[in-house]
Amino acid sequence: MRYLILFLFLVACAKPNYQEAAPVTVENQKAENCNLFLSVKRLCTTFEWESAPNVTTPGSFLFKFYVQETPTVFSDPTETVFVQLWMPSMGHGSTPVTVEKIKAGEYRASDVFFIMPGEWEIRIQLKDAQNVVDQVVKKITL
Amino acid sequence: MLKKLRFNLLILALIAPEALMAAACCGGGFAIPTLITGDDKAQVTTSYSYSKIDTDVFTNGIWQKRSSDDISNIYKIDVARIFLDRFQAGLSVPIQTRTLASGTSTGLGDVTGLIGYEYLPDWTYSPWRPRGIGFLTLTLPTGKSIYESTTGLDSRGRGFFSIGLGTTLTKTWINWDANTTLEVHKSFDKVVSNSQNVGNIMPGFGNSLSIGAGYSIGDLRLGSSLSWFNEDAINVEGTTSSKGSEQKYAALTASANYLFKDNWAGSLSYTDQTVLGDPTNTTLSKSVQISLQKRWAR
Repeated sequence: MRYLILFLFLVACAKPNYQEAAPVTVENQKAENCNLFLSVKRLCTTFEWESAPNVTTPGSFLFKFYVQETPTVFSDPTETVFVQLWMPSMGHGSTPVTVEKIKAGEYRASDVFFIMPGEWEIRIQLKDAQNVVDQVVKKITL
Repeated sequence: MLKKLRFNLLILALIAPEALMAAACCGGGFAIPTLITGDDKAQVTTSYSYSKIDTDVFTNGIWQKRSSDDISNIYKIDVARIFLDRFQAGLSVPIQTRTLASGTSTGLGDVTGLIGYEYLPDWTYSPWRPRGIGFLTLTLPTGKSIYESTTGLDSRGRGFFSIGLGTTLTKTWINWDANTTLEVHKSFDKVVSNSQNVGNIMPGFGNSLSIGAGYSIGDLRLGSSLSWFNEDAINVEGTTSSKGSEQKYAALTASANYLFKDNWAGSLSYTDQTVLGDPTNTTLSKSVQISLQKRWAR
């Protein structure tokens, strides 16, 4: 019995791979890169943290829409702009994000709060009623 | 001889598997009500557990120490009663208080019912053959889940109807005892309609295996168990869609049980989910549980 218990302990020991929580970096994406591309609406999206969130404090970010050929001219999509925080590995979202229009084609997302650490997606969506017409996804880990 | 038999029966009651409690995410987990594994006709178990999330494990295998508090206090009543000689019915009702940096929330967790059948009785006190009980569980999504919560704070259940099938085997040899519990469960799709999603949440199968052993000194039993938990990926379809990832983790439990007079028993246990297995896509907790059990002999 005691050898069986010892055996089970030895084969079952965890091998943790601890890493420090990396701060969410504040980045300024250059518009001409068009890394965040809304393929249906043919629009590029910029993304810039205004204040980065952590596991206890909400953050906010700015985003703008433009046509790739004219990266300095921002324009509003015809659909409703919505921001969703989503944890795909566990299949759930987070607290609702507040989206406000600053001026033509420029928006602020505030109350950006992640309810637990992990791998999250920030989904900037264009909605027609409840249907998501197009979206861009920015992945972050916190 | 009679004294030894009585002692073994009492130990059988004590080694009823510690609550197999999964807490992979967001306040809720799959649990099995406490079974009658001795020669009793009924039992009531009240328990209190304090659990704190220690570590998050991501899908890429990275472990990260939790820097903010996520504490669960669970008060639970388990009742079980024999009927029709070898059948038993059980019910588990948890009340959970969850405390995060953003506040505290209290409410009902997922209620689980159980029907058990002693398919391998130990009438002859065989030196080698274990006592076996098969069981069928039904979990009701009575606790608010992360799929309905908009804050995460008031999430206390898995959110799914689940049906489980399992077996517990127990055996004692004078002062030593051993037990194992294996169960498989299926969780059913959930329809959601909220600001996050209008569509289906699709869980799959889950399973758990627990192996435990103990040694008794008089009325005191010291025991330990290893448990492994797996849950299929949870996929989402609808206005929001995503492919989930499998969740798995293991737990080590050390426990001390004491038999009081008049079929009362108390236990104290410590469970650590950070020391065993190859966890992925889960939270890992450390918890302490105390329980008091009253049994009625047949």
